[in-house]
Amino acid sequence: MLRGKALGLAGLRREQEARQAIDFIASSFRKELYESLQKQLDVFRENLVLFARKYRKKIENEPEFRAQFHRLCISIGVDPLVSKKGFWEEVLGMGDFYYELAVKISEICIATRDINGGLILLDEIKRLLDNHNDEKFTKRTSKRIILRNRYEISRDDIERAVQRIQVLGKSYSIVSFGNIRYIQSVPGELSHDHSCVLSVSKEQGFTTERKLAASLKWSKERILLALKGLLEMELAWIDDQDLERLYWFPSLYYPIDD
Amino acid sequence: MTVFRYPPFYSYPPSFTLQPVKATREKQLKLWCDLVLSYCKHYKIFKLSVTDSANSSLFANTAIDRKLSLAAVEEVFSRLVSMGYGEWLNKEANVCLIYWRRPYEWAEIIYDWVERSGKRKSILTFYEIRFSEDTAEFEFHGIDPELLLRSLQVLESQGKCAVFEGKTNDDLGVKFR
Repeated sequence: MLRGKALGLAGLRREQEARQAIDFIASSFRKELYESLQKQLDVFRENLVLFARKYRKKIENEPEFRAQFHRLCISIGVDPLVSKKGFWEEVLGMGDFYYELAVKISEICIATRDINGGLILLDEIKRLLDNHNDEKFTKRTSKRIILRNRYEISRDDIERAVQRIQVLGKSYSIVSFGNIRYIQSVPGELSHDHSCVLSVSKEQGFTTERKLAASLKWSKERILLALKGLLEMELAWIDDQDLERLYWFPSLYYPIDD
Repeated sequence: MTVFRYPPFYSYPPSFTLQPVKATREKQLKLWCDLVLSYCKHYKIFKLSVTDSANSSLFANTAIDRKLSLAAVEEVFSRLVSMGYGEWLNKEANVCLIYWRRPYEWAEIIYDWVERSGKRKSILTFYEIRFSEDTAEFEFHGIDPELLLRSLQVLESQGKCAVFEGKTNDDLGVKFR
C-alpha cells in the first residue's frame, strides 16, 4: 500500500513531467512545422516571383492567363492589388495597370453618367475600353501603359480594377443580376422587375412594351410600372420616332465612340 | 473648313424625342444647347432661324432617321436664351442671335484688335470691321451686324467708343477712343 502511495506520488510527478515533455516536444514540433511551412511558402513565393518574371509577357498579354495567375496569388495570400509594396510593380512592372484601368473606368463612368444614370453594363465598359481609339479617351490617356502596351482587357481585369476604386470610396460597385454584371457609380437600388427589363433588353439596347410582354409574360400594368420606374430613375429614354414607342437604356449601349 | 464632328448623343435615337422625365429632359436640353453652340462656333454662324434650323442637319440625323420636332427645337432655343447664350432678334420670325461668344467677349476681342492695329481715335464703318481685309484672320470677321452693334454698345458703355447713326446697318460708324 505504502509503495503504492509512493508510487502514486512519484507517478503523478512523473506523469506531470512526461506531459510537460510532450507539451514541449509538441510545441517545438509545431514551431518546426510552422517554420518549415513558412519556409515552404517563402520558397513558393520565390518561385512565384520567378514564374511571374519568366511568364511576364504571357501574363501581360493573355487576360485568361493573368486571371489564373491572380487566383494563384490570392490563394496563397499574396494579393497583388492590396500588397503595399506593389507586387505587380516590383515583379512585373505592372503596378499601375489596375490603377490606370480604374482611372479609365471611372472616366467612362463620369463621361456617361448624365446619360445612363450612373449604371453601365460591364460588357459595355469592355466594349468602350476595347475601342479605345476614341479620340477623347486616347488623347487624355495616351501616355498610359494600357494603351502603350495594348493589353487586352478582360472582364476579370475590369472587376479587379473596380474593386480597387472601391478602396477609395464606396461610390463604385459591381451589381449582378443573374449572370449580368453592371458597374454602378451613382447610388440607387434596382428592383427585381427593373433588372429583368434591362436583362432582356441587353442585346439591342432598347425594348418595347410588346417585346417585354413576349419575353417576360407580364401583365401590361406590371410592364408599364417597371418602365415608368426606369424612366424616373433616369435609366431609360423614350423614342417616339419608330413604329411604336421604344425605350432605350443607355446603360446597355451608348454610341460614345461611333 | 473641316467637317463638324457631332457629339455621341447625336447618334443616339432617343435624343431626338423630348424626354418626359424632367431630370432627363434637363440633361437632354443641355446636350442640345451645347451642340448648337459648338456647331455655330465651328461654322461661324451668328444667328439661326428656328424653322430653318429645325429642318437642317443640326437637328435632324438622316443616318438614324431621327429629327427633333419643331416644338423641341423651340425649347432648345428658349433654353439658350434663358441661359444667356442667345437673344431673340425677331420674335415673330423666330430668329435668334447665338452667343457662342457673348457680346462682352466680342467687345474685348474687337477692342484688342483696335488697340493692336492702331485704330484708336479713328472712325470705322461697320462694313469695314466686318469685311475688310484687315480683319480677315480674326474671329469677328463676318460678324452679324446686330451682334456687332450689341458688342460695340458694351464698349460704348465703357466709354471706349461712340456709335454713329447710319441709314443701314453697314452705314453705321464707330469712333474708337
